[in-house]
Amino acid sequence: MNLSQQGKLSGFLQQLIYKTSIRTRLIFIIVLLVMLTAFSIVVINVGISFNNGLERAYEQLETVARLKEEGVTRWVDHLEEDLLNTLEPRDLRWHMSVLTEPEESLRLFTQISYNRAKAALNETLSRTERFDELFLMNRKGDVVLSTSVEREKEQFSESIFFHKGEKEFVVQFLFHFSETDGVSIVTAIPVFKESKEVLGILVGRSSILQLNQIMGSRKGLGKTGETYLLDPKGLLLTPTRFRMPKENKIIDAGTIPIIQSSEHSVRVRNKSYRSSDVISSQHWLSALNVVLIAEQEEVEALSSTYTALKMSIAVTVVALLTAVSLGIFLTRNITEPLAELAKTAAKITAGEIDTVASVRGGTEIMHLGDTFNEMTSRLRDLIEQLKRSEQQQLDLLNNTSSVIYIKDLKSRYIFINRMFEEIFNISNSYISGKTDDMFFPQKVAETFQANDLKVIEDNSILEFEEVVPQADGLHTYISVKFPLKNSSGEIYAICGISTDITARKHQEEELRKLRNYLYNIINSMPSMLIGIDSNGLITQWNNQAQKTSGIDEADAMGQPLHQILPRLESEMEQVFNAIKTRQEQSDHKRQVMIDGNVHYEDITIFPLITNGIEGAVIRIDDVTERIRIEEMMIQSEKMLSVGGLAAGMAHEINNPLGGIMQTSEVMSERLTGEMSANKRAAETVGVDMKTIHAYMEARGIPRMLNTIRDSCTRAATIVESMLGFARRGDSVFSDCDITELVEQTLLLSGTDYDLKKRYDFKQFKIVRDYQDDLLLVTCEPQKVQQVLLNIFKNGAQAIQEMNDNRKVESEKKQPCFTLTLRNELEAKMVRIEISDNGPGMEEEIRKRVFEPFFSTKPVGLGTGLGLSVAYFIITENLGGSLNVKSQPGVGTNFIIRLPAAERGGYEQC
Amino acid sequence: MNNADLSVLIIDDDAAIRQSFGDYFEDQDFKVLSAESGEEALEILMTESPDAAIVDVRMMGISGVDFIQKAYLQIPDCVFLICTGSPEYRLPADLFQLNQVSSRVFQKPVNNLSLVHKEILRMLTEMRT
Repeated sequence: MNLSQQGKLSGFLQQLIYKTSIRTRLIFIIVLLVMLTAFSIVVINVGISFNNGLERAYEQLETVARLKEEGVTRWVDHLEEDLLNTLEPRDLRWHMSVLTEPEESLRLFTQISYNRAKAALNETLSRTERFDELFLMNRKGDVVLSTSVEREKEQFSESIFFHKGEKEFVVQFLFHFSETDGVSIVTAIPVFKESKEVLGILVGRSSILQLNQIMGSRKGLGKTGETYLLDPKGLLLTPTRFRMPKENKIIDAGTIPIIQSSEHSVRVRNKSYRSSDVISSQHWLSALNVVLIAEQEEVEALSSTYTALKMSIAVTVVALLTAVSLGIFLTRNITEPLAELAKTAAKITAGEIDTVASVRGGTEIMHLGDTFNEMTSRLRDLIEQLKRSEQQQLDLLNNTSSVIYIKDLKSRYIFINRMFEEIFNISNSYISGKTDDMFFPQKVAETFQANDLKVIEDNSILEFEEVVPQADGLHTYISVKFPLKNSSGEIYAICGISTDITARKHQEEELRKLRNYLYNIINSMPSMLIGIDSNGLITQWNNQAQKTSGIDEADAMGQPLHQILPRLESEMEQVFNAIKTRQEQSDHKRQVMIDGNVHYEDITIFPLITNGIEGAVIRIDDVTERIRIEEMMIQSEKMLSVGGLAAGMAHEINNPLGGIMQTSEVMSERLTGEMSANKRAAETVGVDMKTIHAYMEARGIPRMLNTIRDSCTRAATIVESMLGFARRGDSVFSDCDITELVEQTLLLSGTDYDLKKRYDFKQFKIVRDYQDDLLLVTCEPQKVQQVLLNIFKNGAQAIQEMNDNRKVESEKKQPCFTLTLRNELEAKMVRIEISDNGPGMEEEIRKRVFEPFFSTKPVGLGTGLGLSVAYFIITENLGGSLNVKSQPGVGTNFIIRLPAAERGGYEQC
Repeated sequence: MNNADLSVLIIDDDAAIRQSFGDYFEDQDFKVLSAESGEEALEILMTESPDAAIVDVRMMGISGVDFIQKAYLQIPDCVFLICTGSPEYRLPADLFQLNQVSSRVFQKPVNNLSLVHKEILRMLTEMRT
């Protein structure tokens, strides 16, 4: 067998082994065991019995053979005896010798001897019936006498019986002796003369029949046994029982020597001439020079053995059957339940998951069955769970708003979820196995694949931002990609979860812009915006706060407010109050010192109440300017009201004055005039106009009327002069030299009635500080004078009062006015400063000094209109500015600024 | 021209002023019409057509300026003179442009009523030529 055939065989065997069921195998094993046992017993038994049987068979055969041998020998002995007996008659030998050794002398007797011998032979023949013929041979081998006449004249000088027969009794089996068919037994004895010389040989031919009979006797040979004789060449002498062998040869001539040489019989097992195996006992009958074979078919010979064997086999078969049955029975309890389990398992595998195995059997089997059922129950549950879980997962995958996909290592799609399908309008089945470049622009697809590769290389979860064009524009996604691994840890796919953050990005962008915008707003605010939490720690510090406090945002954040801005410490209570009560608190016009200057602040505290976050925003506005402006405006209002006041007053006064004056004029006309109406009226009354005129004159009426008119005029003038500054329109402007104007005013003040009366202006020291090349000023010179005078008056009064109040002479100051004139080229103004060394003014007073009707003097000493009018004149009429600075204890400084004259302006004054 | 043909409308909320003007122009043989307010004056204008009007600026109700603006078209031949007690008063530009309105503003108290008379005559002469 070559290798492939071997292989096939082993394969076949293997298949066989695997295909056979356990039961079969078990049964087989049981059977095998039983069989082996039985078989070995049988074999041993049979073997023993076989041997024994064989032994016995051989013995039997040998016995038979011996018997046969004896028989044959006896017969042959009989033959010998007969032969010898034949020779009994006394003179027979003589007769024979005549025949065998013919002498001429005895020729006559030949016939008699012949007859006598023949008769003797015949007698033996008939008597014994053992011979078919007898003849006598001479020493030459010629047959001289025979019972069969034809035999005479024959020669057997070559034959063994002749040769041997000369000496002793010999038996020879011969085939085809002479013409006879078959086998003849030729026995010969030497015929001895009385001289013990051999005269001839007496030969007897016997048919084999007798021997055949002997040999053919089946006694002790059973049904198949036989005995036969063979000649030394192995040729069959006596017939066989069953058939004639080929060429009459039973055994190989080569074996004869073996038989001959052995002392005992040779036991042989062969096939003999038959087709069946025989056992034979082969003897060499040396006396007869034949081989005696007693043989018997093995089967019969060993029949007992075979019987035993059969019995054994029967027993074995029974045992086998028993074993099988037992096996079947026993295994039923094992394999049936197992088969049942297997069947159930198969059913379950096929999908009938609710099948329950019912098994009977031993406790182990029952246990197995129960366990199996439990297991399948668990399995059912697990499958249920798994199905549910799988469904959940699928639902999850398909209902999430994220786009989920799985690609293999070559970036070919394996799975996409519903969202993916919907957004990109591709079905899961269509995309399967295809790559990105089929659905997305090349650059996009390349990016995807590069990202996929990175994930594979890094073997970890990575996040990417991917931009994808969709129907409504570009969308930005956050893609989380991670490798999927099998149970041996190898990557087999990539899973990606992409979330659309376009909106989020927009929102972020919006938020960022908003935040920036808000930040910008907060930081552009001119107010200090400070955010604090409920513990008073700073959470917000805008640019203005930084600027004003000089503390950076970074340093301020998280610090307690009252540490960073100590000046707000007093506000903290209000702050906490605001947070607690959730109401806005404000503090206006807090005076505060910053860098040595007085500032005013408005502080507003807004509690933050949205989103439940506690805290507050403090807004601090520097309102110093505003306050100033407000005050100025109030002042201006007040100042302006002066104009209105003046105008109103003037109007109110002028009307009654008009009434007085105009009426008196009419009166004058009517009383002293020459109107025709007068004449008419006089006529009506019956009086002459002249008379009336004379009376009027006499009583001084015209003079009185004039007085009335003059007084009214004067009153009107006073009104005009006092309140007339309010009138615009007929202002008379001219370009003036301020230096001259000031000097004139100084002269005037020296002679001024008021000044003269109360203050000795001449006592005043005047310091002059005039700039050269002073510009001309466009103004109403009278009005400017009015202003200057007013200022001087105020100063003088104040100093006087101060000196009056100081009792100690040494403390009294010498009143001193410092006059400074300067050009302000950029502003195109001329500045006039009038400083005194008076008591100065407190701030409270200073800021109200231009207020109409504001007076520090006691009631009756002044209306307080002076400076307000001065302010009005300078600012409203002349378009300049008027300011006052003062330091209590040092002095006061008035600053007048007037617009410089334009070229080609008004005429010079 | 003859004064006796002329009529004058005096509009002022002050009775004394009205009276004194009235008396004077009466002496000058004017027909005198007087009104306390602009509204009253407008009512008068419905029936009368004066040749001149002396108008006070500051009155209750509509101001003199408003009155003139309402009235001048109604009485195109009438001259308007403003007489005011407010010293700061300046003739507004739109009235200034009207040649019916005198550019001279009289300041109360008027110490020479004949000036008013003369102005009226001057304006009337100017207008009618």
